[in-house]
Amino acid sequence: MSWWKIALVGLLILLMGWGLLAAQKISLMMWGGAVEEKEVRGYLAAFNEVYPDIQVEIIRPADYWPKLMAMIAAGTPPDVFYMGFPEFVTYHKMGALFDLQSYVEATPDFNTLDFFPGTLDAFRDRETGHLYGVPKDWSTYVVYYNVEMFEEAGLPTPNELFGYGKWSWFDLLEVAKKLTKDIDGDGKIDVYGFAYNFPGRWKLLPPAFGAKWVQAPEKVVVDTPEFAEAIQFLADLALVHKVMPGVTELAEMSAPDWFANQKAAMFICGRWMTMKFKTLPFKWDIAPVPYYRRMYTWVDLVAYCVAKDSKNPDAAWKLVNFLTGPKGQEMVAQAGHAIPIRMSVAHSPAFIEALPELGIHNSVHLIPITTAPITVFDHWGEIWTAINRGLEPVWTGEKKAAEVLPEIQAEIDRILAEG
Amino acid sequence: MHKGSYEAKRALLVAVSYALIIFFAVSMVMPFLWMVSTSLKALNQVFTMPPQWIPRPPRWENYIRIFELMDFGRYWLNTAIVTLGRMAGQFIFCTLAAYAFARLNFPGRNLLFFLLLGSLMVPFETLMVPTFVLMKELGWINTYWALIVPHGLGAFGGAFLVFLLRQFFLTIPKEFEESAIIDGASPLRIFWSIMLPLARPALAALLIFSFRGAWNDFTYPLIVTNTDDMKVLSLGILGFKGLRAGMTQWHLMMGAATLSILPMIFVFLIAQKYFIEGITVGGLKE
Amino acid sequence: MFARLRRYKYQQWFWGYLFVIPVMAGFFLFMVYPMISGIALSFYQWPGIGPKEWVGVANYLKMFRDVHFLRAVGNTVYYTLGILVLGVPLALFWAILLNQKFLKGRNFFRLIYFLPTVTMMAAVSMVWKWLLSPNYGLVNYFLGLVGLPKVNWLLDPKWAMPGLILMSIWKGTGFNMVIFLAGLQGIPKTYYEAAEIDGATAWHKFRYITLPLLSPTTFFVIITTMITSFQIFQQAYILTEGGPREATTTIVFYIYKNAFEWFKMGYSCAQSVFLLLVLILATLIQWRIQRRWVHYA
Repeated sequence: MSWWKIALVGLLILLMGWGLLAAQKISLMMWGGAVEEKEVRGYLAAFNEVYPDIQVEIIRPADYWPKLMAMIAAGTPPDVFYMGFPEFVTYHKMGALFDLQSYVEATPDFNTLDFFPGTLDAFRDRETGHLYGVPKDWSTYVVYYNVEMFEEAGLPTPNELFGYGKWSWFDLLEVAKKLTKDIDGDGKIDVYGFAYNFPGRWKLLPPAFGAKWVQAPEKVVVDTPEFAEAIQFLADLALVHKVMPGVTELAEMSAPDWFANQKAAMFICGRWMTMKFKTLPFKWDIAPVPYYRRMYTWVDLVAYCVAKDSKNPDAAWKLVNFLTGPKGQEMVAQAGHAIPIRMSVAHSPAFIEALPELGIHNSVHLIPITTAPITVFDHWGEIWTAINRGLEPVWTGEKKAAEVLPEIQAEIDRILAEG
Repeated sequence: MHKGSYEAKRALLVAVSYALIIFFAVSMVMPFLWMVSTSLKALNQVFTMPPQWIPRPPRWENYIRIFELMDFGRYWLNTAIVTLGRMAGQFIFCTLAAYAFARLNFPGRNLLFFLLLGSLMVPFETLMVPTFVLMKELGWINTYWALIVPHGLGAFGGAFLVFLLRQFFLTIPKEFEESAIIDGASPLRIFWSIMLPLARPALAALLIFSFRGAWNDFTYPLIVTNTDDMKVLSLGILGFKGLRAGMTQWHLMMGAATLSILPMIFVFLIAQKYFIEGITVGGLKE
Repeated sequence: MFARLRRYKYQQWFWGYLFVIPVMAGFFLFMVYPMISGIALSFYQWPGIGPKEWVGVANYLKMFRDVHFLRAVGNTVYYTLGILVLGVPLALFWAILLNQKFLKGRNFFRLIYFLPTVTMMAAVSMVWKWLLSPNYGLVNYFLGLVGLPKVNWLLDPKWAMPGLILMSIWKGTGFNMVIFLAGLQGIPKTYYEAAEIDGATAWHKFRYITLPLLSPTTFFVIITTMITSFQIFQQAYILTEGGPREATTTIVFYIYKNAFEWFKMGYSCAQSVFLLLVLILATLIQWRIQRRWVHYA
């Protein structure tokens, strides 16, 4: 072997060693199921085409919030992690999040005007205006409906009803009644008109019924006639009208499974279900959620935050910037996981015409029926727990909504007063 | 009293006893059978009444799906590492301590032993927070160190194993060691070449208890580990718990349960004799 | 020879300490130290990161005004009583049943009864969630077969705790049974033979021979069962998440929630101290009153 071959091999080894040393490792903590993780792995593969020297490790715990908190407390936080807009307040107050402002200013192509209005503001410090998280995507709730069942029953679809201006919650009830069936006549309902995880997601209804229940961070008012009306209406879908699986039925089969197994004609959830429903063996579509006194849909808004104690904030920022940039957002559009946070992508064919094989109306998600996310209130977790727990007797029919709301109000006031 | 009526009564008693015994035995086994049966069904077969015991056709592919959905191999590996590590530690250290407490006279022996026994009254559940803080200070959060070292050194339940072995060593007649002492053997030597071979059944019991404790541990790993790749089986299968994720995939949940329960049952059936002996040694003598 | 014996005496000191050092080190580092730091932490308010704030006994005062905590205490007592009243007698009954001489395949049945105790609680909880499910659960199916109404086990606040108790009895009774079996075998046969000559009935033999002579075992079983029942956590965490309507929120579950979901570390330590004191107190009381009813042969 001549000397230059040895030198070449030496050089190669050196280069490889340098490459290994240069490779940086950061972690990304996410929630969701195995399907979401697969999707995120796809995003990371694209990221590594641009930044081959940054390795990203995915952390996906079963119980996201306790684990995130525990890792921060243990001094070993993930570098980048998901952060909901309500939880942001707590984590920011605790000082667990990295101030991204300097990175934003040093990144010329980070066009803040391209983000949907208000979405960046949810992750700013209220005083300094500094950015502590970049919205990764967002989602509005929509009605998923089984097109074949509507055709079979000869009914106009929710999208058509919305077009006629006949799509209030009471119209949904009427449609659901026609779609609810006891096929074998054993007195047990086999197909429901509607399925909804109402014990966890009742929050969709009160604002549509005119309840202004979150008035300020320290003022949460649930003891109003409108709130009671909304909750009672929702409970009665299962209890009185029997067009929706009740608490017991949901314990055995979750709401999305009722829909996916063709045992419910309509179902309400956010965009992420599109990804799960991609492979369903029947034709389905999405439509706007019903309205009543107001138009309202729930908005889920999630950001990437960087940990204050991150050992490699530069790499973390590169990841965040890539995933929230035009390229990353196009992949979000294709995945059916959420709505792109960048308007330029959301209004482009990348999202509007995404998943052409499904033939669904993606643009339904963009109907601007609500302007901004719900105002965040203090003691978010504890108050949700209190309301959810207080409403349980309503869902089972033991009590009326109007009966329990004063008790819930008292509990909320107590939590807020304790501070 | 007529002899005949006595015998009839006795026959009745026997019959009732058998009926009860079989009734309870069936109740004990049924949940396991139902678990396995459900794990081999399709989701829509799961929701049938009256229950269908034999899935037709059995869907073995459910198990493939489970391995796709979660990193079962990793959970098994972690559980095996943690279990073996703890077993090794407890085997060595608890046995040594038990021997010392039973057979060696040194000042403060009884005090230390009763302190240790007292720790049986302090369950891990009351130490969740300070243990988390301690592990954080040691930098052990989310490591095998945290999962193995404390238990390996006999903390959290190891006192029971020390007690068990001590009771056993106490039953060994003194003559066995006396001649060795006269021959000039050291305690280590006596322990190694006389006590250990004699204690074989008790050691088997210790190993099995240790195995069972480590394999089934839940609360402790829940507190000291964070990431999926450090999860042990008992935590890993909760990926299917899914109330929060809104999943009710009963067939897959039962499959995961089957995969984590079967190894333990297998070990138990092989080693059941020592198992039961171990409990009785521990339970009998106060 | 005496020199060797004397030497052995001092050797015992050296080796004795050496042998117990690892276990005692583990004991002091991982149990005593956390216990002390937990007690210290219970006087602070601390979210897990950042500085600790001294609040004196405020956490303890808060605890007794916290309806949710008091409910957790009540639930834990309910569960423990359920296990003691139903589970322990059942274990004794099984032990007597499986101790009959005429029984064929005794060892086989003992094995079967013991089987659930070796399995993983996390997995078993998942299985029971399915067994107790309202419409397609096996338990309700069998209730229906014998003409009883369906029970909405884990969703009805009245029935959720009985559901947990049922599962725990299935899971844990075999363990106590084995201890009772050992106790039964320790009773000399001569007592029974003498009683039979005197024409004692089965009930009399049970009441005046078995029960008194078994009392040390019973005592042991009650103490250990009580201590473990007070720590109930996994079942509540996995089956019911403390619900419905806090019906299964136990002390340890509430401690966990406070510490690792709401990050009130100090407050949760105060609750832990309370639990520890209760356990120690209960054990001591048991020791005191056992003299009245436990007969050591």
